[in-house]
This record gives sequence, C-alpha cells and structure tokens, in this order.
Amino acid sequence: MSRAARAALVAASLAIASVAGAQQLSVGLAAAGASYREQGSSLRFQGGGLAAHADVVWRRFGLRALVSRLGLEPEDGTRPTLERFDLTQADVALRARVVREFSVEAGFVRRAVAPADAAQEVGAARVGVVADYALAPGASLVARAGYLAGARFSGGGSAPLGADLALGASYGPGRGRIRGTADFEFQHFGRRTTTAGHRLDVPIQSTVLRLGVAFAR
Amino acid sequence: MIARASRLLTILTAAMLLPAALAAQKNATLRRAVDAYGSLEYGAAVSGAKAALRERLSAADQVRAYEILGFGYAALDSARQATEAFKQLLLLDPGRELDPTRISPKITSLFALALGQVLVVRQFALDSASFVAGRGDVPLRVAVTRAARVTVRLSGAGGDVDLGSALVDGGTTVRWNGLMANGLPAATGSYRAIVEASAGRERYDASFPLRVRAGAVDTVVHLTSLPGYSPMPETVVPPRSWRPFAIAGIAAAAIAGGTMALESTQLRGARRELSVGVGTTLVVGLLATAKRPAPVRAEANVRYNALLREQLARRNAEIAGENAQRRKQVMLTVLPLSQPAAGGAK
Repeated sequence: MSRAARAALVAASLAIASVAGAQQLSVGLAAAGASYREQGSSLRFQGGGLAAHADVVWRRFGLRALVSRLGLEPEDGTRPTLERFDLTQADVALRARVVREFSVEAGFVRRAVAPADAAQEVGAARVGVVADYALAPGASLVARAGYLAGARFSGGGSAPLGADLALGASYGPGRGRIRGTADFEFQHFGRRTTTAGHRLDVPIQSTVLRLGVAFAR
Repeated sequence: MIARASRLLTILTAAMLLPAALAAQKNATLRRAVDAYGSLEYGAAVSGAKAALRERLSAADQVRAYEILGFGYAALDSARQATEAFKQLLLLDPGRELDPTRISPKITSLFALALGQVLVVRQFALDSASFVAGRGDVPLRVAVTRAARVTVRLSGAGGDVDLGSALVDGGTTVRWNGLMANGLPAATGSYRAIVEASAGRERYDASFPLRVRAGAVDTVVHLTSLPGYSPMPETVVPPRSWRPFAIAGIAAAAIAGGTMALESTQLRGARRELSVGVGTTLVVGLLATAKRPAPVRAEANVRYNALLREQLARRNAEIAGENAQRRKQVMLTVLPLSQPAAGGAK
C-alpha cells in the first residue's frame, strides 16, 4: 500500500466519522518496538518506529485503522547477507458489537517491505473477535484474536494457519479524553513453500509493542 | 298601692331606657312629647306624639313618635292602643327590638303582642360570600313575624331570578346559586333582593340591596413535581472492587498463553514485547481498581422515575382539563350593602 493510499484511508475514516456523527472518535500516536522473525534462527530482526491509529465508533459499529512504520535491523549484525529494511504495515478492520463487551471484526492486513527482497511482503484478510472492557472512567482494555486468511506472500507460498493476538490497555485522568496507551500485538503466519517437490515450513512471526498517547472525543 | 308602684316602676324604666337620641328630635312637637314622657307626664306625651304624627315627620321621627305613643299607652294601661302604636312602629321599622332585660315586661309583652298581629319581614341576613356561579351558592336568611307565604326574587343589572316561594313560620333560608333566569351567571352590578310576604289579605314587601362582582375563577398551577415524591438518581456509583484488575489479569493471561501457544518452535518468541505489554495491562488494571468506578444505571430507580413522570404527566393533564373548565366559569362575590331596607305593607 502506497503512502498516499494509507493517508487516504485514514482521512476517509475520519471523514466517515464526522459525517455520520460519530459517537466516539479516537486518534493516537505511538512509539513502537518490534521483533520480526522468518524461517528459523537465521532471520531475526528487531527495531522500532512510529505508529498511528484512528478508531471510530458509531452505534454498534466501529472502524479501526492502524499504520505502523518500523525500521528493522538484524539481531545478529555480523551476518553480511542480512540487511536492514523498513516495514510498513496497514491494518484496517470493521467491527460490529454483538453483545455488550464483545464484537466481531473483519478487515485486512497489509505489510510492505523496502527493499522488497529483504523480507516477505504479506497481504491477508482478517476475521476475529474483540473484547473491549471499560475498566473504570478513563481506563479500558482491549483483547483481540483474529484468523488471518488467504495470506499472500511476495516470495510465494501459502499459510493455512495465520493468526494474530493483541492486548491493549489505556489509562487517562478524569474521563480519559487524553490517555496513555500500550498495545502488544503478536502475528504468526504458518507459511509453507514447496521446493523441488518438497514442502517446506517457513513460518513468519512478529511482535510489536506500541506505547503512545491517544485523544478521544 | 302595689298596682301604683308597679305602674310607676314601668314608667320609670321606660323613661330611663328611651334612647338618648329621642332627646334630639327635629320636630318641636315631638320634642315636647319626649320631654313630657321624660317628666312622667304620659298623658301629655301621648297627646304630643299623636299631634306630632299629624305633622310632616321624617321616617326616623315617625318611628320615635310611635314609640313614645306605644310606651305612653302602655304606661296608661291602654293595651289596645299601645299594641296598635307598636304595630305601626314595626311596619316602619320591622327590625325593631326591645331589650327584655331592661324594659318592663308589661311593655315588652305588648310589643310581642303587636309582633304577632302584624306581618313584616323582620330579618334579612346575607353574609359576604364568594363562589363559582352554578356550583356554589349563597344563603339568604329571611324571617317574618307570622306564618306567611314568602317569595324571594333577585333583580338588578344582570336581570331577574326567582329564588322560590314557601310557606314560612318564623325564619327560612333561601339559596342563590349565582345564575339568573336566563341560566347565565349574574353580571357585575347592584341588585336588590325583593322579599314578598303574604298571609290572607295582608301583604308586606321589602327589598334589600346587595352588590355582585363577577370575575374569573383562578386556575390551578401545573405541577413540576409530585408533593412528597422526589426523583431518584438514575445512576449510582458502585463500590470499588478488584474486578478491573481481575479482568486485566485474565485478559493478559489469555493473550500471553495464546501467544506462547502460537509461537513457532523454530522461531521462538521475543518475550520482551510480551512482558512489557502484559505488565502495562496489569498496571492499568490496578490503577482502574483504585479509581472511582463509573456510575452505572440503576434500573429500579429508572423505572421509579418513569412512573413518577407518568403520574406527573397524568396529574398535569387533569389540571389542564380542570383549568379548561375553570376558564369557562365565573366567580361571584356577593356583598350585602348597609343601605336600610325599604319595605311596606299593602
């Protein structure tokens, strides 16, 4: 996804929210720390960057858009074959509340890498459930579990099992219009490829921790 | 001897009790009669009173002249003439009373005899009253000296109305509901209550002035709350509990467990992000536990308030209906006027 497309997505979310008279709008900015691993112990990267999100809630429905820009470097810097790369991930999901604290969501995740051959680019659809608890005025908790279906990789292969889990907590003074946020996200693709007629398991796994601030209206 | 003493006592009592006003007569003849009576010259008093009555006298002087005449005849033991004089006195002043504790029984008994022989409207009483025309009423009390058919009607600015006719022996009370003969409430203005009494060929008419003021009936103010009932708070703040921390702990444990279960054995996880994420979540859970809980909806109170609002709306609807009725009504205030009654025998 290009930078322009991402910006357009976030802008569209905000526009929809304002037009529809959103009941709740939240935007946030966070510093992110990440770990990215592929295949085996050889391809391990870690680094950090920035992330921005926008959440809009209208009646029973919600729209979440998240964009992360991470710079990842090899954990083992002595290996000359590994190079630093930038990872840009866009995550968009539409949510519908089923019961008071539980929602179902559907969306997609898109991960782009630059330079292109430094790691696998991924695109997948996501369906999942979200538990959202208001712990106290200005404090909330979100736990999310999703299945990543139809994953496509730039290096080919497929992933019958793709899943992500996320845990987020936010806290702010008073009614929490301004909150500190902490989000942990784990993503796993059980990628498989076939080489010379042999099936090869080449899993991809990433963890991201985002610490930031969010403004709610 | 005893008879003379009794006669003297009668005369002295009557003389003492003659109103002081008697001494201030305008008519000279009447004044001489009064003086004669005061000097116990009752024969001269009687002739003086009779002479005065042949002259042109005011109504008040006529009353006084007949009183002197009645008292004089009584002092002279002329019962028939005394009774006749008292009858004339009553026709002129039907409300006249003699105080039996201060006036000789001889005179008062002759006066009572005269009362039984003459037909007059002896009393008309009306108290000030305010009432809604057609709903309330005002009592008019009438008393006559002997059994007679009494008819009462009202006449004035707003027309006439017949208040009824009845055989009365003594007193009766007639009620007026404020409506005139045309069924409409009386208009503001002066009225007269006309009382006609008849017994055989004797008739006596009297009229009494009264004032009627017509105005709007006060409306009832709408209620903003039901007296004695206060709305309950629709939200209540629950007591602090460890629930937020427990929820954070359960969610953190579930995500941490899931993450470790999904982790590839080939790749191993980067636990640093997980530890910080779980730790931060638990801290937020702890802070939320310490924070004042959010108010929650108190369903019982909400239902109670809804019931209260419903009752209030119902009561105000009733008030609105009542006010609509009241705006069509007329409040009458009836005041008796102190003008002396005008009446006479026919």
